[in-house]
Amino acid sequence: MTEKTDRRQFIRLCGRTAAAMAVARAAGHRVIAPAFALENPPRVRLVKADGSPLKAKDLPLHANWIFHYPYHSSPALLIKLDDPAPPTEVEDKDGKAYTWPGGVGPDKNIVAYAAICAHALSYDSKETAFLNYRRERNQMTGHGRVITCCAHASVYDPAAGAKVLAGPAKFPLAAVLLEHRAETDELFAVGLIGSELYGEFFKAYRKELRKAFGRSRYKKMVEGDVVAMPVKEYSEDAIKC
Amino acid sequence: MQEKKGKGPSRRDIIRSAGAAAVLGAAAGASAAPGGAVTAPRPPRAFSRQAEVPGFGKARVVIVGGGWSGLEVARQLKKLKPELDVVLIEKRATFFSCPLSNLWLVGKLPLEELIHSYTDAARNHDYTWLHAAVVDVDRERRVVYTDEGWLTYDFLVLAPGIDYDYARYGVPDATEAARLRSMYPAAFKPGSEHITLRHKLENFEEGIFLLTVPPGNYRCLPAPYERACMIAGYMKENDIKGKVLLLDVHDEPPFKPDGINEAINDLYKDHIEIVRGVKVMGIDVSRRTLHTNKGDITFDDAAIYPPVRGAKILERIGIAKTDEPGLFAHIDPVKYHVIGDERVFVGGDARPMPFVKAGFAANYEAGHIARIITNQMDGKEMGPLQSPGMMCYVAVNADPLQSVAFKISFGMVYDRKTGGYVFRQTAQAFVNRSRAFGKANLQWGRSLFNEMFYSAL
Ligand SMILES: Cc1cc2nc3c(=O)[nH]c(=O)nc-3n(C[C@H](O)[C@H](O)[C@H](O)COP(=O)(O)OP(=O)(O)OC[C@H]3O[C@@H](n4cnc5c(N)ncnc54)[C@H](O)[C@@H]3O)c2cc1C
Ligand code: FES
Repeated sequence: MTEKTDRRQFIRLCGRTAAAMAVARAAGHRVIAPAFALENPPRVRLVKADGSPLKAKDLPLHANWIFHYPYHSSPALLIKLDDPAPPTEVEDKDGKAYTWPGGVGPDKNIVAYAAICAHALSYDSKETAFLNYRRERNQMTGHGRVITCCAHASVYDPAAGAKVLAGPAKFPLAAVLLEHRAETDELFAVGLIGSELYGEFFKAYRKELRKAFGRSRYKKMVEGDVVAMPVKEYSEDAIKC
Repeated sequence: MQEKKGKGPSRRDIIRSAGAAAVLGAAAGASAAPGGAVTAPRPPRAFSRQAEVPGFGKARVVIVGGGWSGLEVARQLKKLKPELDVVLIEKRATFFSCPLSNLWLVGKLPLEELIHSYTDAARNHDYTWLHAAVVDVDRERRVVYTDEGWLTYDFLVLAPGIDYDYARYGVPDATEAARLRSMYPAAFKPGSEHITLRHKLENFEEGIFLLTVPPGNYRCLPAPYERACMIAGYMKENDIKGKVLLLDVHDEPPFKPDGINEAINDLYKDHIEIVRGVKVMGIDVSRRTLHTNKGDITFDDAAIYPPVRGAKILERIGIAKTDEPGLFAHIDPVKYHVIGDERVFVGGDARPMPFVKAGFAANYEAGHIARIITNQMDGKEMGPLQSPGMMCYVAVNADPLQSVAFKISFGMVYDRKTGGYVFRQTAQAFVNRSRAFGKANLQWGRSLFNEMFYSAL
């Protein structure tokens, strides 16, 4: 892709998404704009269960945390990796390349992805978290430091745009774009890129999402502050496979 | 209703069936002599009528069988090439899932989780469902004959699943096999047999409920064990004085059984008895007795699972491997087409390759077959199938739901020594049963139903 078309596509992205992607560009990476980016994404601050801001330094290494973004009912995983995660080129569900802009925070190691499986839409709910990040190598997949969906064992690499490492999934999890404010050490979720799955997600789980998040609220976008917490506190069962 | 015990067909039954034969004979213009010899009737009129399916003037792929394989082939074809005219022919009016059915069997899962609508599948994935039974295929003219008329194809995918082979259980006589199938159905083909089995359980008072594990690559290796656990749990919960007698032909089950054995030891010591190395050599339906290498074994009620074979339609249209007892499809194990015919493909449990006969395998393979076909249309080659490792779950406790897990990969790999492809399958077992795996077990199925019937993902 030439620099020119790259730039034009880039400008078409809305301000927040473009800004988050620009970080990667500023760091000297070639940036390919995603074919899909959420329109008018909300900008929300991540807070702890007690309402105080979640600071990057408060997030434990190898955190497997959950928050909801961009909708009240759509879960996302928040992960702190042990190494910086540089921007990576990945391909969406139509095989189109895009740049995942990499980790954020002082150590560029905080990342977030939709906790909705790109294979067959299993997701993390209060009852069950099918997708989890785990540091340890697991005996089944042989991979460590990965997100695994235990419905059928799809394995994603959180350090590389949630690229598929194993299992039946064909494309990465959607990436939640994060922003880190250096002055306060706060974290913000500001956008979503990759492959659009929310239409199908709502269609598949409408009944249970309505029940859990409210008749119409489930498909409203989040705003203001959004609570993030460890998956094992949020879900009754965080499945390990 | 409890089974009628120890009697052959009643006089009234005989009169009724003789009457039915006479009616049939008259309708088809055949003559039936008393005692059953029927001379061939002329072909039914349906053969000369064109089936009522929309024609799009586009390349048409016809798929026979809307099970785990056919449904996914249809969906994937439309995903890969939306312009294709895809027709799925399925004879059942409603989809009924075998996977997860053992939970429903003992009242722990509502029926609506298992049954799904072919109309939904077709409308959400933009293909045509023809509700008909395929009776013949003319491969020279590329015509499929159904009881609803004929239709032409550019490519044909056969995914008709399995049939039972009672002859290998020492019941070669067709009439006796039919009686066995109705009295003690295996419930390994989707639908009515499962409902009968559930009714049998609900009416079971006491005694021995017999299940069998057949030889060969039977459909769903752990399912008879899963079923034994579910039935034993049901007996325990309802304080039924009975036990499951599981007769396994194998000395060791053909899968890693540790987690299941552990569950049986922990939970069902009093309700499951497993006898291994039992070869069934004959069955006396009236006396409720199996003749085996270990002597005669009697039971109070049963679901008798005989060896499986490729669905009979394969043999009827001349593409079964008749030199092997399984009568599975005679196809190229890498390219999936019928030997000598690159327009006809076979997938799912009807395949001859020794992959696990499982829904997830049929589902994954279906995407591969769809790609072979669209690649062929585009003049492109396609490599051999190699599945990723995928989870599957086996329920060992219904309440609370607990399952054990397996991760399986399968495919064909190139063998440098022989210069050909060889089959490879690997399996790992997660032996600790858990509630979390129980939940994953349900989601495993629900998410695939969502794909097959509803999701445009
Ligand atoms: C009790 C039980 C539990 C199981 N559990 C699991 C599990 O947990 N996980 C798993 O992966 N697998 C499981 N399986 C296995 C799984 O059900 C099969 O492997 C799967 O159904 C195979 O798919 P198929 O499409 O080849 O055959 P089927 O699903 O049987 O579909 C074949 C279809 O073809 C139709 N058909 C046949 N002939 C014709 C014709 N002439 N005209 C029109 N239509 C026709 C039939 O009506 C049928 O709908 C289980 C099976 C059983 C019985
Ligand atoms: S839904 Fe996640 S692996 Fe299938």
